[in-house]
Amino acid sequence: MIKSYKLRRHIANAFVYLFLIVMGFASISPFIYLLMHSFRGGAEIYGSTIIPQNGH
Amino acid sequence: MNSIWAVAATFSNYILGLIFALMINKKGIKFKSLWRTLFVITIAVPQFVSLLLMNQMLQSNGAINILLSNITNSHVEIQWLNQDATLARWVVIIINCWVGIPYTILSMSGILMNIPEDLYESARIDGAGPVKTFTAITLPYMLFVTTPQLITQFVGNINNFNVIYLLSNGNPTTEKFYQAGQTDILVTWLFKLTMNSQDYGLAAAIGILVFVICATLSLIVYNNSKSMKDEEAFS
Repeated sequence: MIKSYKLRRHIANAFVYLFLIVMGFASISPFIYLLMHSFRGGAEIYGSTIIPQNGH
Repeated sequence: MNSIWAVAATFSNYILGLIFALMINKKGIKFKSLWRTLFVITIAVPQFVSLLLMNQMLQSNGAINILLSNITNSHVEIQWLNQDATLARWVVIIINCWVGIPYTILSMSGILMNIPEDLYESARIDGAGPVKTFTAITLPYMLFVTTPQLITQFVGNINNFNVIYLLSNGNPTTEKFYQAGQTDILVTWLFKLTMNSQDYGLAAAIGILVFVICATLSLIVYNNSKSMKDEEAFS
């Protein structure tokens, strides 16, 4: 009884963690994009790489 | 559009903010401060910068379409904001959630942490499960405390100039409405009327209409709410 309750709680918590990770990443990704673009310059700003190649 | 926008923007923010806050504050969830920081960090950037950034990301050659092109290995050029009115409205509501939910999470977390623990203990002793506890204690308490905030948010969304103007600028355009696009709300229409066509009479009438709607709704809803009628309910 106690074991199944603990298992259910762990599964519920796993779903919550998964949801928080996915939504947290979705929420923070435009911020990271903004931060990365602030280090780009010239033509690199129109590129499709995530990490800036030449620091500015 | 204005009423649909105000209702959708207010309740999506409120419900999603409540869900996020409940998950973060759930017993057994570790790193609560980390999760809160992760969602709230977007507040660090001024709202108009975030909105202009999202506007750029959602252009036909913007980051979202480039990302989708890279994932699907084909040329994707979705007009998120400029072609399909329904898609543009959904996008505006979703971006408004991204901008607004962190504030809701903060206030909801504060309220959740202040719900007396003995209420939950009594419910557990009486055999109440998690759903019953939520509907009988958490939700009524949250609604009681946040009704004035909900009214303020609703009125704020009726007048939410920033999100509409900076994100979609009222687009997609249409011939059906005089000077207004398909995602325009009254306050952005008012701005266009004064700045583009100098139609000050109509703009003034819209301004007065917005005030009358906001004042009437606020008074009726607040005076009929439990927060006003039964102030001592949870003290």
